[in-house]
Amino acid sequence: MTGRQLDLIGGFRIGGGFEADGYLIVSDQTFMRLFPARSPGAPNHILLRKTDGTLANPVAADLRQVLPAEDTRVETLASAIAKDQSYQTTKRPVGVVFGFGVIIGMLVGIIIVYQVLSTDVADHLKEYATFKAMGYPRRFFLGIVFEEAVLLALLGFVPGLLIATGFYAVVSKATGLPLEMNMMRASAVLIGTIAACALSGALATRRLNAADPADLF
Amino acid sequence: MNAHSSSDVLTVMGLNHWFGEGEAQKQVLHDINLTLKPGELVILMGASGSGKTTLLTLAGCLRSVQSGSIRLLGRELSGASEATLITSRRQLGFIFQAHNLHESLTALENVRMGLEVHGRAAMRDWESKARAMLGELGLGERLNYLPSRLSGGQKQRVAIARALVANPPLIFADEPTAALDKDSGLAVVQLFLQRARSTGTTILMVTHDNRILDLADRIIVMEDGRLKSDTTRHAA
Repeated sequence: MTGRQLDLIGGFRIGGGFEADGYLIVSDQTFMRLFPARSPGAPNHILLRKTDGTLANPVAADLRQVLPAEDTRVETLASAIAKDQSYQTTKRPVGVVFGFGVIIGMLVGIIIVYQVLSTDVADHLKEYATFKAMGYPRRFFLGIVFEEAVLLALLGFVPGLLIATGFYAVVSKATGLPLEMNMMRASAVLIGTIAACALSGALATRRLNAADPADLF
Repeated sequence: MNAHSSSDVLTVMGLNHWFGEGEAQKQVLHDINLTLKPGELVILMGASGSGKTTLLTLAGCLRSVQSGSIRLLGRELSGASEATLITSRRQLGFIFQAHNLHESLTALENVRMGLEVHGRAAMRDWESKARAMLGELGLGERLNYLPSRLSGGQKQRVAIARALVANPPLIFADEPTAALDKDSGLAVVQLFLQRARSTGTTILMVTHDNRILDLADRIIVMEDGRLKSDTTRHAA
Protein backbone atom coordinates (compact mmCIF):
# COMPACT_ATOMS: atom_id res chain seq x y z
CA MET A 1 0.00 0.00 0.00
CA THR A 2 1.27 3.46 -1.01
CA GLY A 3 4.54 1.70 -1.90
CA ARG A 4 4.89 -0.09 1.39
CA GLN A 5 4.65 -3.76 2.09
CA LEU A 6 2.35 -4.73 4.94
CA ASP A 7 1.96 -8.12 6.55
CA LEU A 8 -1.64 -9.22 7.05
CA ILE A 9 -2.03 -11.03 10.31
CA GLY A 10 -5.74 -11.86 10.30
CA GLY A 11 -9.25 -11.12 8.96
CA PHE A 12 -12.52 -9.85 10.44
CA ARG A 13 -16.14 -9.53 9.34
CA ILE A 14 -17.67 -6.09 9.04
CA GLY A 15 -19.84 -6.20 5.88
CA GLY A 16 -19.69 -3.91 2.87
CA GLY A 17 -20.95 -0.46 2.04
CA PHE A 18 -21.25 2.15 -0.65
CA GLU A 19 -18.26 4.11 0.65
CA ALA A 20 -15.49 1.55 0.22
CA ASP A 21 -14.80 -1.88 -1.18
CA GLY A 22 -13.02 -3.14 1.93
CA TYR A 23 -11.63 -2.16 5.29
CA LEU A 24 -8.23 -2.52 6.92
CA ILE A 25 -7.33 -2.08 10.55
CA VAL A 26 -3.79 -0.89 11.20
CA SER A 27 -1.97 0.33 14.27
CA ASP A 28 -1.62 4.07 14.86
CA GLN A 29 2.06 3.86 13.99
CA THR A 30 1.39 2.18 10.65
CA PHE A 31 -1.44 4.62 9.93
CA MET A 32 0.85 7.62 10.38
CA ARG A 33 3.39 5.99 8.09
CA LEU A 34 0.76 5.30 5.41
CA PHE A 35 -0.78 8.79 5.59
CA PRO A 36 2.01 11.17 6.51
CA ALA A 37 -0.23 14.19 5.87
CA ARG A 38 -2.40 13.30 8.86
CA SER A 39 -1.30 14.54 12.23
CA PRO A 40 -1.58 12.31 15.28
CA GLY A 41 -3.48 14.94 17.28
CA ALA A 42 -6.40 15.24 14.80
CA PRO A 43 -8.38 12.00 14.49
CA ASN A 44 -11.52 11.68 12.36
CA HIS A 45 -13.40 9.45 14.71
CA ILE A 46 -12.97 8.63 18.35
CA LEU A 47 -14.72 5.55 19.64
CA LEU A 48 -15.63 5.66 23.33
CA ARG A 49 -16.56 2.48 25.12
CA LYS A 50 -18.40 2.78 28.42
CA THR A 51 -17.67 0.13 30.97
CA ASP A 52 -19.64 1.35 33.99
CA GLY A 53 -23.12 0.60 32.61
CA THR A 54 -24.29 4.24 32.34
CA LEU A 55 -26.75 5.12 29.57
CA ALA A 56 -25.25 6.32 26.30
CA ASN A 57 -27.65 9.22 25.73
CA PRO A 58 -26.90 11.26 28.90
CA VAL A 59 -23.17 10.69 28.44
CA ALA A 60 -23.42 11.95 24.86
CA ALA A 61 -25.42 14.97 26.06
CA ASP A 62 -22.78 15.76 28.70
CA LEU A 63 -20.01 15.48 26.10
CA ARG A 64 -21.91 17.83 23.78
CA GLN A 65 -21.95 20.40 26.62
CA VAL A 66 -18.21 20.17 27.02
CA LEU A 67 -16.96 19.89 23.44
CA PRO A 68 -17.24 22.74 20.91
CA ALA A 69 -20.10 22.08 18.48
CA GLU A 70 -18.38 23.70 15.49
CA ASP A 71 -15.74 20.99 15.07
CA THR A 72 -17.06 18.01 17.08
CA ARG A 73 -20.17 15.86 16.75
CA VAL A 74 -21.08 13.48 19.55
CA GLU A 75 -23.29 10.55 18.60
CA THR A 76 -24.38 7.38 20.32
CA LEU A 77 -24.11 4.24 18.22
CA ALA A 78 -27.87 4.28 17.53
CA SER A 79 -28.04 7.92 16.46
CA ALA A 80 -24.92 7.54 14.31
CA ILE A 81 -26.54 4.62 12.47
CA ALA A 82 -29.80 6.54 12.01
CA LYS A 83 -27.97 9.62 10.70
CA ASP A 84 -25.88 7.58 8.29
CA GLN A 85 -28.96 5.74 6.98
CA SER A 86 -30.84 8.93 6.40
CA TYR A 87 -27.77 10.45 4.72
CA GLN A 88 -27.31 7.41 2.48
CA THR A 89 -30.97 7.26 1.42
CA THR A 90 -31.87 10.92 1.00
CA LYS A 91 -28.63 12.79 0.26
CA ARG A 92 -26.41 10.35 -1.61
CA PRO A 93 -27.07 9.80 -5.34
CA VAL A 94 -27.51 6.04 -4.85
CA GLY A 95 -30.25 6.60 -2.25
CA VAL A 96 -32.01 9.22 -4.35
CA VAL A 97 -31.87 6.94 -7.41
CA PHE A 98 -33.42 4.12 -5.39
CA GLY A 99 -36.09 6.55 -4.14
CA PHE A 100 -36.95 7.42 -7.73
CA GLY A 101 -37.03 3.71 -8.47
CA VAL A 102 -39.80 3.37 -5.89
CA ILE A 103 -41.77 6.26 -7.45
CA ILE A 104 -41.37 4.85 -10.98
CA GLY A 105 -42.36 1.41 -9.68
CA MET A 106 -45.51 2.93 -8.18
CA LEU A 107 -46.39 4.70 -11.44
CA VAL A 108 -45.85 1.56 -13.51
CA GLY A 109 -47.94 -0.36 -10.96
CA ILE A 110 -50.78 2.19 -11.14
CA ILE A 111 -50.77 1.99 -14.95
CA ILE A 112 -50.76 -1.80 -15.01
CA VAL A 113 -53.50 -2.13 -12.39
CA TYR A 114 -55.48 0.58 -14.20
CA GLN A 115 -55.18 -1.44 -17.42
CA VAL A 116 -56.28 -4.63 -15.69
CA LEU A 117 -59.23 -2.98 -13.94
CA SER A 118 -60.42 -0.87 -16.86
CA THR A 119 -60.27 -3.92 -19.16
CA ASP A 120 -62.34 -5.76 -16.59
CA VAL A 121 -64.84 -2.90 -16.33
CA ALA A 122 -65.01 -2.76 -20.15
CA ASP A 123 -65.59 -6.52 -20.31
CA HIS A 124 -68.53 -6.22 -17.94
CA LEU A 125 -69.79 -2.87 -19.18
CA LYS A 126 -73.14 -4.31 -20.25
CA GLU A 127 -73.71 -5.87 -16.87
CA TYR A 128 -72.65 -2.71 -15.04
CA ALA A 129 -74.84 -0.62 -17.36
CA THR A 130 -77.76 -2.86 -16.44
CA PHE A 131 -77.06 -2.34 -12.76
CA LYS A 132 -76.80 1.39 -13.36
CA ALA A 133 -80.11 1.27 -15.23
CA MET A 134 -81.65 -0.50 -12.24
CA GLY A 135 -80.66 2.38 -9.98
CA TYR A 136 -77.38 1.26 -8.45
CA PRO A 137 -75.37 4.34 -7.41
CA ARG A 138 -71.79 5.25 -8.24
CA ARG A 139 -70.45 3.98 -4.93
CA PHE A 140 -71.74 0.48 -5.73
CA PHE A 141 -69.45 0.27 -8.75
CA LEU A 142 -66.58 1.91 -6.88
CA GLY A 143 -67.08 -0.72 -4.19
CA ILE A 144 -66.80 -3.58 -6.68
CA VAL A 145 -63.72 -2.14 -8.35
CA PHE A 146 -62.05 -1.29 -5.02
CA GLU A 147 -62.63 -4.84 -3.89
CA GLU A 148 -60.92 -6.07 -7.04
CA ALA A 149 -58.14 -3.53 -6.53
CA VAL A 150 -57.48 -4.61 -2.94
CA LEU A 151 -57.49 -8.27 -3.99
CA LEU A 152 -55.00 -7.47 -6.73
CA ALA A 153 -52.87 -5.55 -4.24
CA LEU A 154 -52.84 -8.44 -1.77
CA LEU A 155 -52.26 -11.07 -4.46
CA GLY A 156 -49.37 -9.02 -5.78
CA PHE A 157 -47.98 -8.23 -2.36
CA VAL A 158 -47.53 -11.75 -1.03
CA PRO A 159 -45.31 -13.06 -3.85
CA GLY A 160 -43.67 -9.62 -4.01
CA LEU A 161 -42.74 -9.83 -0.33
CA LEU A 162 -41.39 -13.38 -0.71
CA ILE A 163 -39.35 -12.53 -3.81
CA ALA A 164 -38.02 -9.33 -2.24
CA THR A 165 -37.02 -11.15 0.94
CA GLY A 166 -35.21 -13.74 -1.16
CA PHE A 167 -33.45 -11.08 -3.21
CA TYR A 168 -32.46 -9.21 -0.05
CA ALA A 169 -30.82 -12.36 1.29
CA VAL A 170 -29.02 -13.12 -1.98
CA VAL A 171 -27.87 -9.54 -2.61
CA SER A 172 -26.86 -9.07 1.00
CA LYS A 173 -24.74 -12.23 0.86
CA ALA A 174 -23.20 -11.36 -2.49
CA THR A 175 -22.32 -7.73 -1.76
CA GLY A 176 -21.97 -7.71 1.99
CA LEU A 177 -24.37 -4.74 2.12
CA PRO A 178 -26.62 -4.72 5.16
CA LEU A 179 -30.12 -5.32 3.72
CA GLU A 180 -33.09 -6.31 5.81
CA MET A 181 -36.84 -6.58 5.26
CA ASN A 182 -38.54 -5.10 8.28
CA MET A 183 -42.23 -4.75 9.19
CA MET A 184 -42.16 -1.00 8.68
CA ARG A 185 -40.92 -1.27 5.13
CA ALA A 186 -43.23 -4.17 4.27
CA SER A 187 -46.34 -2.45 5.63
CA ALA A 188 -45.42 0.86 3.98
CA VAL A 189 -45.19 -0.97 0.65
CA LEU A 190 -48.50 -2.74 1.32
CA ILE A 191 -50.30 0.51 2.14
CA GLY A 192 -48.75 2.16 -0.90
CA THR A 193 -49.81 -0.76 -3.09
CA ILE A 194 -53.41 -0.65 -1.86
CA ALA A 195 -53.54 3.13 -2.32
CA ALA A 196 -52.14 2.80 -5.85
CA CYS A 197 -54.65 0.07 -6.71
CA ALA A 198 -57.56 2.08 -5.27
CA LEU A 199 -56.52 5.10 -7.33
CA SER A 200 -56.39 2.91 -10.43
CA GLY A 201 -59.83 1.56 -9.59
CA ALA A 202 -61.33 5.03 -9.25
CA LEU A 203 -59.86 5.95 -12.65
CA ALA A 204 -61.18 2.76 -14.21
CA THR A 205 -64.84 3.54 -13.36
CA ARG A 206 -64.80 7.06 -14.81
CA ARG A 207 -66.37 6.08 -18.14
CA LEU A 208 -69.08 4.09 -16.42
CA ASN A 209 -69.95 7.02 -14.20
CA ALA A 210 -69.96 9.65 -16.88
CA ALA A 211 -72.15 7.96 -19.48
CA ASP A 212 -75.91 7.48 -19.71
CA PRO A 213 -76.77 3.80 -19.20
CA ALA A 214 -78.34 3.65 -22.68
CA ASP A 215 -75.00 4.58 -24.27
CA LEU A 216 -73.21 1.71 -22.53
CA PHE A 217 -75.12 -1.23 -23.98
CA MET B 1 -95.36 -0.60 -3.19
CA ASN B 2 -98.46 -1.34 -5.24
CA ALA B 3 -100.42 1.62 -3.96
CA HIS B 4 -100.30 3.52 -7.22
CA SER B 5 -101.56 7.06 -7.12
CA SER B 6 -104.52 8.02 -9.23
CA SER B 7 -102.43 10.59 -11.09
CA ASP B 8 -100.72 9.72 -14.34
CA VAL B 9 -97.78 7.38 -14.19
CA LEU B 10 -95.95 8.93 -17.11
CA THR B 11 -96.51 12.23 -18.86
CA VAL B 12 -94.38 13.19 -21.87
CA MET B 13 -94.76 16.72 -23.24
CA GLY B 14 -93.10 18.30 -26.27
CA LEU B 15 -90.24 15.81 -26.25
CA ASN B 16 -87.57 16.22 -28.92
CA HIS B 17 -84.33 14.32 -29.16
CA TRP B 18 -81.26 14.45 -31.35
CA PHE B 19 -78.36 12.08 -31.95
CA GLY B 20 -74.93 13.18 -33.11
CA GLU B 21 -73.36 16.61 -33.08
CA GLY B 22 -72.91 19.49 -35.51
CA GLU B 23 -73.42 18.67 -39.18
CA ALA B 24 -74.19 15.02 -38.47
CA GLN B 25 -76.92 15.88 -35.97
CA LYS B 26 -80.14 14.04 -36.65
CA GLN B 27 -83.47 14.53 -34.93
CA VAL B 28 -84.88 11.18 -33.85
CA LEU B 29 -87.90 12.33 -31.83
CA HIS B 30 -90.26 15.14 -32.86
CA ASP B 31 -92.65 16.76 -30.37
CA ILE B 32 -93.78 13.59 -28.59
CA ASN B 33 -96.80 13.94 -26.28
CA LEU B 34 -97.93 10.88 -24.36
CA THR B 35 -99.68 10.01 -21.10
CA LEU B 36 -99.83 6.60 -19.45
CA LYS B 37 -102.59 5.87 -16.94
CA PRO B 38 -102.09 3.51 -14.01
CA GLY B 39 -102.57 -0.15 -14.87
CA GLU B 40 -102.51 0.34 -18.64
CA LEU B 41 -100.76 -2.08 -20.97
CA VAL B 42 -99.54 0.03 -23.85
CA ILE B 43 -97.81 -1.48 -26.84
CA LEU B 44 -95.47 0.66 -28.88
CA MET B 45 -94.98 -0.34 -32.49
CA GLY B 46 -93.12 1.02 -35.47
CA ALA B 47 -90.38 0.24 -37.94
CA SER B 48 -86.83 0.02 -36.64
CA GLY B 49 -85.34 3.48 -36.44
CA SER B 50 -88.70 5.09 -35.73
CA GLY B 51 -87.55 6.17 -32.28
CA LYS B 52 -89.28 3.58 -30.07
CA THR B 53 -86.19 2.55 -28.13
CA THR B 54 -85.05 6.17 -27.77
CA LEU B 55 -88.42 7.11 -26.29
CA LEU B 56 -88.30 4.13 -23.97
CA THR B 57 -84.75 4.83 -22.76
CA LEU B 58 -85.57 8.51 -22.20
CA ALA B 59 -88.65 7.67 -20.14
CA GLY B 60 -86.70 4.93 -18.35
CA CYS B 61 -84.03 7.39 -17.11
CA LEU B 62 -81.37 5.67 -19.21
CA ARG B 63 -80.74 8.72 -21.36
CA SER B 64 -80.70 12.42 -20.50
CA VAL B 65 -83.63 14.51 -21.71
CA GLN B 66 -82.50 17.19 -24.18
CA SER B 67 -85.68 19.13 -24.89
CA GLY B 68 -89.22 18.87 -23.61
CA SER B 69 -90.53 17.34 -20.43
CA ILE B 70 -90.97 13.85 -19.00
CA ARG B 71 -92.77 13.45 -15.69
CA LEU B 72 -92.28 9.98 -14.33
CA LEU B 73 -94.17 8.95 -11.17
CA GLY B 74 -94.35 12.58 -10.09
CA ARG B 75 -90.75 13.51 -10.86
CA GLU B 76 -89.48 15.71 -13.69
CA LEU B 77 -86.66 14.01 -15.57
CA SER B 78 -85.59 16.99 -17.66
CA GLY B 79 -82.52 18.44 -15.95
CA ALA B 80 -82.93 15.99 -13.06
CA SER B 81 -80.03 15.43 -10.67
CA GLU B 82 -78.19 12.12 -10.56
CA ALA B 83 -79.90 11.41 -7.23
CA THR B 84 -83.38 11.93 -8.73
CA LEU B 85 -82.48 9.70 -11.68
CA ILE B 86 -81.26 6.96 -9.34
CA THR B 87 -84.46 7.17 -7.25
CA SER B 88 -86.60 7.04 -10.41
CA ARG B 89 -84.65 4.12 -11.88
CA ARG B 90 -85.31 2.12 -8.75
CA GLN B 91 -89.06 2.52 -9.19
CA LEU B 92 -88.99 1.10 -12.69
CA GLY B 93 -88.63 -2.34 -14.10
CA PHE B 94 -86.73 -2.26 -17.38
CA ILE B 95 -86.57 -5.33 -19.59
CA PHE B 96 -84.02 -5.13 -22.37
CA GLN B 97 -83.77 -6.80 -25.76
CA ALA B 98 -80.84 -8.80 -24.45
CA HIS B 99 -81.25 -10.41 -21.08
CA ASN B 100 -78.19 -8.56 -19.67
CA LEU B 101 -77.81 -11.02 -16.82
CA HIS B 102 -74.59 -11.09 -14.84
CA GLU B 103 -72.75 -14.16 -16.09
CA SER B 104 -71.08 -15.01 -12.80
CA LEU B 105 -74.28 -14.89 -10.73
CA THR B 106 -76.87 -17.67 -10.56
CA ALA B 107 -80.50 -17.11 -11.55
CA LEU B 108 -81.39 -16.57 -7.90
CA GLU B 109 -78.53 -14.12 -7.34
CA ASN B 110 -79.40 -12.17 -10.48
CA VAL B 111 -82.94 -11.73 -9.19
CA ARG B 112 -81.48 -10.75 -5.82
CA MET B 113 -79.82 -7.79 -7.56
CA GLY B 114 -83.32 -6.46 -8.28
CA LEU B 115 -84.00 -6.33 -4.53
CA GLU B 116 -80.59 -5.31 -3.24
CA VAL B 117 -80.82 -1.92 -4.93
CA HIS B 118 -83.77 -1.07 -2.67
CA GLY B 119 -81.75 -1.39 0.51
CA ARG B 120 -81.96 -3.42 3.64
CA ALA B 121 -85.76 -3.50 4.05
CA ALA B 122 -86.25 -5.06 0.61
CA MET B 123 -83.48 -7.55 1.33
CA ARG B 124 -85.37 -9.07 4.22
CA ASP B 125 -86.54 -12.52 3.01
CA TRP B 126 -84.89 -11.81 -0.34
CA GLU B 127 -84.42 -15.47 -0.97
CA SER B 128 -88.07 -16.44 -0.55
CA LYS B 129 -89.14 -13.45 -2.69
CA ALA B 130 -86.69 -14.34 -5.44
CA ARG B 131 -87.57 -18.04 -5.27
CA ALA B 132 -91.29 -17.26 -5.51
CA MET B 133 -90.73 -14.88 -8.44
CA LEU B 134 -88.67 -17.41 -10.39
CA GLY B 135 -91.18 -20.11 -9.50
CA GLU B 136 -94.02 -18.04 -10.98
CA LEU B 137 -92.05 -17.71 -14.19
CA GLY B 138 -91.51 -21.46 -14.33
CA LEU B 139 -87.88 -21.50 -13.26
CA GLY B 140 -88.31 -23.12 -9.85
CA GLU B 141 -86.02 -25.95 -10.91
CA ARG B 142 -83.28 -23.70 -12.23
CA LEU B 143 -82.66 -21.42 -9.23
CA ASN B 144 -78.96 -22.10 -8.90
CA TYR B 145 -78.08 -22.27 -12.59
CA LEU B 146 -75.63 -19.82 -14.07
CA PRO B 147 -76.91 -17.96 -17.16
CA SER B 148 -74.55 -19.98 -19.37
CA ARG B 149 -76.53 -23.12 -18.51
CA LEU B 150 -79.94 -21.59 -19.28
CA SER B 151 -81.67 -21.38 -22.66
CA GLY B 152 -82.41 -18.00 -24.24
CA GLY B 153 -86.02 -18.08 -23.10
CA GLN B 154 -85.00 -19.05 -19.58
CA LYS B 155 -82.47 -16.25 -19.40
CA GLN B 156 -85.03 -13.71 -20.50
CA ARG B 157 -87.41 -15.05 -17.85
CA VAL B 158 -84.71 -14.51 -15.21
CA ALA B 159 -84.32 -10.95 -16.49
CA ILE B 160 -88.09 -10.49 -16.21
CA ALA B 161 -88.04 -11.89 -12.67
CA ARG B 162 -85.26 -9.44 -11.81
CA ALA B 163 -87.36 -6.54 -13.14
CA LEU B 164 -90.56 -7.64 -11.41
CA VAL B 165 -89.30 -8.90 -8.05
CA ALA B 166 -89.48 -5.49 -6.35
CA ASN B 167 -93.04 -4.92 -7.66
CA PRO B 168 -92.33 -1.71 -9.61
CA PRO B 169 -95.40 0.42 -10.41
CA LEU B 170 -94.17 0.83 -14.00
CA ILE B 171 -92.38 -1.47 -16.40
CA PHE B 172 -90.69 -0.66 -19.69
CA ALA B 173 -89.97 -3.57 -21.99
CA ASP B 174 -87.94 -3.07 -25.14
CA GLU B 175 -88.67 -6.00 -27.47
CA PRO B 176 -88.13 -8.52 -24.67
CA THR B 177 -88.47 -11.38 -27.16
CA ALA B 178 -86.15 -10.03 -29.85
CA ALA B 179 -83.52 -12.65 -29.10
CA LEU B 180 -85.99 -15.55 -28.86
CA ASP B 181 -87.76 -17.69 -31.42
CA LYS B 182 -91.44 -16.89 -32.00
CA ASP B 183 -93.06 -19.53 -29.85
CA SER B 184 -90.84 -19.33 -26.79
CA GLY B 185 -90.96 -15.54 -27.16
CA LEU B 186 -94.74 -15.55 -27.04
CA ALA B 187 -94.74 -17.84 -24.03
CA VAL B 188 -92.30 -15.57 -22.19
CA VAL B 189 -94.29 -12.41 -22.93
CA GLN B 190 -97.57 -14.01 -21.92
CA LEU B 191 -96.05 -15.13 -18.64
CA PHE B 192 -94.59 -11.67 -18.07
CA LEU B 193 -97.84 -9.84 -18.84
CA GLN B 194 -99.89 -12.19 -16.73
CA ARG B 195 -97.65 -11.67 -13.71
CA ALA B 196 -97.32 -7.91 -14.15
CA ARG B 197 -101.02 -7.29 -14.74
CA SER B 198 -102.02 -9.29 -11.68
CA THR B 199 -100.39 -6.59 -9.53
CA GLY B 200 -101.81 -3.65 -11.49
CA THR B 201 -98.47 -2.60 -12.94
CA THR B 202 -98.43 -0.12 -15.82
CA ILE B 203 -96.56 -1.50 -18.82
CA LEU B 204 -95.09 0.16 -21.89
CA MET B 205 -93.76 -2.46 -24.25
CA VAL B 206 -92.15 -2.36 -27.67
CA THR B 207 -92.94 -5.45 -29.70
CA HIS B 208 -93.33 -6.66 -33.27
CA ASP B 209 -95.34 -9.71 -32.38
CA ASN B 210 -98.89 -9.25 -33.67
CA ARG B 211 -100.15 -12.09 -31.50
CA ILE B 212 -99.61 -9.99 -28.39
CA LEU B 213 -101.60 -7.00 -29.66
CA ASP B 214 -104.85 -8.57 -28.53
CA LEU B 215 -103.73 -8.24 -24.93
CA ALA B 216 -103.02 -4.51 -25.14
CA ASP B 217 -105.24 -1.73 -23.82
CA ARG B 218 -103.66 0.78 -26.16
CA ILE B 219 -101.53 0.56 -29.25
CA ILE B 220 -99.27 3.42 -30.21
CA VAL B 221 -97.56 3.45 -33.59
CA MET B 222 -94.44 5.53 -34.24
CA GLU B 223 -93.06 6.62 -37.57
CA ASP B 224 -89.95 8.69 -38.21
CA GLY B 225 -89.77 9.94 -34.65
CA ARG B 226 -93.43 11.00 -34.43
CA LEU B 227 -96.48 9.37 -32.88
CA LYS B 228 -98.51 8.28 -35.89
CA SER B 229 -101.51 6.77 -34.16
CA ASP B 230 -102.74 6.12 -30.64
CA THR B 231 -105.61 3.65 -30.43
CA THR B 232 -107.37 2.73 -27.21
CA ARG B 233 -108.78 -0.76 -27.62
CA HIS B 234 -110.63 -1.12 -24.34
CA ALA B 235 -110.62 0.81 -21.10
CA ALA B 236 -107.92 -0.13 -18.61
